[in-house]
This record gives sequence, C-alpha cells and structure tokens, in this order.
Amino acid sequence: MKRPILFLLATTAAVSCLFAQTTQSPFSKLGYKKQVMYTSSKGEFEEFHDNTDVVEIGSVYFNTKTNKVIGYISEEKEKTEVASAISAISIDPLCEKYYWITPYAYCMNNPVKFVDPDGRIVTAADPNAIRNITNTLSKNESQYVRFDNKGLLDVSLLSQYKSTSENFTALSKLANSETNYIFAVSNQDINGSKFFEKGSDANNPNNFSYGVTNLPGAEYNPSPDNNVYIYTASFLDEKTQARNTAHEGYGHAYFFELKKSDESINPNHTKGVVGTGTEYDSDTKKNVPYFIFGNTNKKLEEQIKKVEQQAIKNYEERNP
Amino acid sequence: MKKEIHKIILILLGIILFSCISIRNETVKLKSESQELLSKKIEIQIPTPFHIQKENYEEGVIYYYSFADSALIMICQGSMVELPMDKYIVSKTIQRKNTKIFVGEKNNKYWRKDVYEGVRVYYDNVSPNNKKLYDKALNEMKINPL
Repeated sequence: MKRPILFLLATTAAVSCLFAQTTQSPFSKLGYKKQVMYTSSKGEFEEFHDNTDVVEIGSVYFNTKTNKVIGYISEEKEKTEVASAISAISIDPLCEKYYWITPYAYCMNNPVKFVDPDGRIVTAADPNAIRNITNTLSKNESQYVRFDNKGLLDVSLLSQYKSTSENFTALSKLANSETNYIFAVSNQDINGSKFFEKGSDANNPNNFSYGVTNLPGAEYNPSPDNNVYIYTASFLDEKTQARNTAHEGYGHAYFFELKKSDESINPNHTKGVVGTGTEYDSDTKKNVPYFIFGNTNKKLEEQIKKVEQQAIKNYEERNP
Repeated sequence: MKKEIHKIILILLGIILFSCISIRNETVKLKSESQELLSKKIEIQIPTPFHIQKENYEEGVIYYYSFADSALIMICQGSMVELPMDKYIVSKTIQRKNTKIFVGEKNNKYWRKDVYEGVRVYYDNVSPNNKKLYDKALNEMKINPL
C-alpha cells in the first residue's frame, strides 16, 4: 500500500518541478534568457543574476522578482529599438549604414539600390529623391547635377558650374561637406515617425507634416548616427516634394552645415513672443491677456522662403 | 439686550456669507481641453478663461494657451522647432515611465517641460501660488494614439 503512495508522491513532485521550471521563464520563446552564473555550487545549481528587477521582454516590461508583467512597451519605442538593432549588426560600418537607412531596405524590405561606399557626399536614396533635387534647380544648374547608379552625387561635375542661386549654393555646400547628407522620399522618417497629409484628420484638416531633417545630436527626433537624413513625404505631388526638399535640404540641413563654422546659426525653427493682445471671455466676463507667438529665427525663415520660391519657380519652368 | 445680540449674530452671519461668496468666486474653474495632434490625442484639465493659438508648420503642430494669470501652456508634436523653454537652464530632471520631465525657475516664475513619445508639453511663467494648479494639469494629462 505504501509503495503506490510513494510512487504517486514522487511523480507529483517531478511534474511540479518540471512545471515550475517552465513557468520560471515564460518569455524564453521570445528570445529572453536570464543571465546564468555558476558560483559556489560550481554548476550544480543555476543562479540567476539580472542586474535589474524590471526587464524588457518582447513587447512587455517584466518583473523578474515577482514574475509578473507590469506594463507594455509602446509601439514607437519598439520601432526605435528595431532600428537600432538593425544598425548594430552592420558589417562595414559606412556601407551598411546606408544599406539600412534607405526606405526600401528599412521600410519596404526591398533590395538595396543605392550605397555610398565613400561617404562625405550627398546621396539620393531613391530615384524620387534625385528627381526632387533636380526639380529644385534651374535647367542650366541641373546639367551639372549627376548621380551615379548608386545615387551618389558627382561633386567634381557640380564644382564646374558657378551659380549664385541659393539652391545651387546650398547643394554645393552639402556636397563638399565632411558630413553625409542623404536625401530620401518616404512615408516616414529614419526613426519611423510617419508624415501626415493635410486633410487626413477630418477634425483638424489643417494638420500636416510634410518632411523632416534628422540632424545628429538634435534634442528631438535626431539622426541615429552622424549622417543627416533629409526626408520628404512620398504622398505629396512632385511640385510640393520639390518645395519640401528645398525647405529641408537647403534650409535646415544647409544651416546645420553653416553652424559648424558659426555657432550663432540655428538650423531649427524657433518660436517666441512676437506680440500681445487681449480677448474678452464672455463666460467668465474677464479679459484674458495673451501672448502672440511667431517665428524668431529670421535668418532661417528668410533662407527657407527664398529656397522654396526658387524650387517652385524652377519646377514650373521645367514642367510648364 | 436680546435684540442687540440678534443683530450682532445677523451681521456676523452676513459677513461669513459674503466671505464664502468671495472665496467661491476666486476658485479657479477648470475645463477639460482635448486636442488632436499628428498621431496623438491629448486631454488636459486647464484653468479658465484662456486664449488659444494654433500653429501648423512644415514638420508639426503647436498649440499655445495663454491664461489670465499670464501663465502659458504649450503643446507640440513635431520636429525642427525650439520653444523658449528649450533654452532655459534645467534645475531638475525627472524620469517617469515613458515621460521625461524637465523643471526650472526663471525670473521667480516656474517652467516645466514633459517629453512623451514625440509630444512635448510645457508650462511657463507660472507663479509660485499657481504652481500646484499647473503641475496637476500636466500630471493628469492624458496622451493617447489617434
């Protein structure tokens, strides 16, 4: 009688141990493994040594002490981590950097067309970016703008033409820089932030986001490396893409380049108080004094206005 | 004598009632304000009355709220823009889950900046008396995907 009871107890204990082991690491399927160290037991017993109580596993925050999920990783954070993980496995640091940043490779998983093996030049990451750059320039200027089959701008040909136009001057400055300037057309920027078409939000029909320049070291939405990424929204018509390319490339990116030799230059829009007013509130029957905010980086705004106007004029002349 | 005591009690009650009404009038009324940004929707309880200015620019959107006490709240989603508080000297940084908070003082007024997944919410020019009110507004603010 004792034997079957002992057998039953032993079986139950074995099953419990097995079950306990599997529940100890419920996220092993997602690739998370606790750090194991063999110390005084010399391998007889595994000892788990995580430095932190809360670790990120898959899409959740997991408390390793309580074995409980305590929160969820936001979608945007996950995207950022995917991007950094991709960058981290590069073989050739410079070449692979381009490999992953093109929208085709990063966003659409298409084969890579354009690679910059030399660096320190202007690159168009896709044919639309080449078209946009060309559209920002006059017909004469664009005769000296040639990209090879990898999207690299021919700097020696560009240098042969002398033009005083803001757009050509800015492009030449970027082309002769030690920083890599990469022009691209996509529905999102290098960090996965999506662009936003005017009218797509019925409640806020004037909201939009047409492009961005991801600058190294920027406080918000920075470049993930030392390159400057100049993105234009793919849903825009060709004329607006040309205007936005000028805004981002010959405005923000150009001012980033100028800042290297003049600290007073700021590549960002700056907002500040440009006036005051008073409004009567009928509910509270009170006057509300208010500040009026506007652009305060006059140099940048003037540059952007000029380069946008040139881009539109050149586009219209090219496409009558 | 009795009549005089009644008179005094009535006057005292009148004074108390008047004080209560005055205090009630001084109480700040809050309004739940909801704004849709580019990819996020924000809900925040702010004092009334206020004036609102909205600005769309190439890379994003900014809302400026001005209040009767000269305080400001700014909400921004987008890149390539600097607001005045971005240049202020930070006296303390607090890291909360998904949110980084910067606080400081300028000209005996308080300012604060909350950075939350591409959305920046600021207050500026807040007097010490009203700091709790604006801190509560930012602490209880809700940001959700659109």
